[in-house]
Amino acid sequence: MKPVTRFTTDTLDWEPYITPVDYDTATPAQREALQETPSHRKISKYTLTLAHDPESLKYRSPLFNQIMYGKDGLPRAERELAAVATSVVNHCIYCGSVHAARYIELTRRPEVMDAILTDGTKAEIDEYSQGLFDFAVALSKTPVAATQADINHVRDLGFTALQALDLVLASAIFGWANRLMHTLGQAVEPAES
Amino acid sequence: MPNPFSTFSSLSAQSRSGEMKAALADRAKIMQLCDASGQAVVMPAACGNLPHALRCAIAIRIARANGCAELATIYAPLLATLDATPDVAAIADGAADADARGAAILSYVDTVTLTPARASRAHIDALLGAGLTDSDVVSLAELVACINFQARVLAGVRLVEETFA
Repeated sequence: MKPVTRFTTDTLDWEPYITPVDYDTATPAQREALQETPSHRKISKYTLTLAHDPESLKYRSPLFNQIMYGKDGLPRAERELAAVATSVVNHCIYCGSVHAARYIELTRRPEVMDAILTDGTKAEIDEYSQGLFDFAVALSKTPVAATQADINHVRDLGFTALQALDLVLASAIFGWANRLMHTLGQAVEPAES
Repeated sequence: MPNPFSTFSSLSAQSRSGEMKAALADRAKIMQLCDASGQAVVMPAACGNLPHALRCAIAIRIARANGCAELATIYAPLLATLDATPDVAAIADGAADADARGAAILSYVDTVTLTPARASRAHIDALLGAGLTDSDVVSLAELVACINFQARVLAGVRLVEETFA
């Protein structure tokens, strides 16, 4: 397994540094927490790793789904843009690849992701996307660096309070996801099939 | 003491901005899950080798590192109820830990909070080497990640609220 250390839109695998829970020997609490994962999908190594702490997983999975796929408010593509902005700040190669690919699927605008994955937080993109991107980048820094001017700019681009709140939530939940994925394991090249 | 795990659910009712009050009400389920996940990482039923007082002190440390005094103020009264030793209470204020396990924990907490890009396998190996179990490590990672999330949601809500006041 070759680690991947540069941002890409290629499909990657993720390898944990600790042994994931084995579903067959999982405790009742772990199985209950794992039910929050969509049942039609094979449970990923990532989710099985998080099942070591079933109490938090039980709430984190629905929280993530509500924030990224909830109705109304900020369009799906812009939530993906916030996810990528945050993943770039936190250097989460795996999250960056998955959500850059989803953004491109939704928008057919690979040039936006090319700029971000090449130039990182300094990327120059169209004015509309730039306002969202810059806010998500600033919110993701520690200490939080987002300012009133940043969010005023988002409003002036035509976004509502609900959409601005969704932008905050999408960026913040990736601050969480990145801190799990980039620290409990690493992105690797996919195994030959 | 106000319940620290009703912070996000209460934001809509407390909001001074009509538009934000409605937006937070639209996202009520998310706000409830922000509180429930906070409780699951700070005050879990099964806390392993990471006692509640230590978790709460770490939460305050992370809130402060993010410049989110409001979140630190929410968790401080809880810490006062948890009989923290002076060493654990000092962790909330950013102190170092003298013993090897505490040092490995705080190295992970600070790196993943301040510069997550620099986190590496060595941090996880140090935690396991200091006697933490796989469950402890994942539980610590969720604690650090969740409180960083909460700090950004709270800081973001305050900014949006002001802009749409």
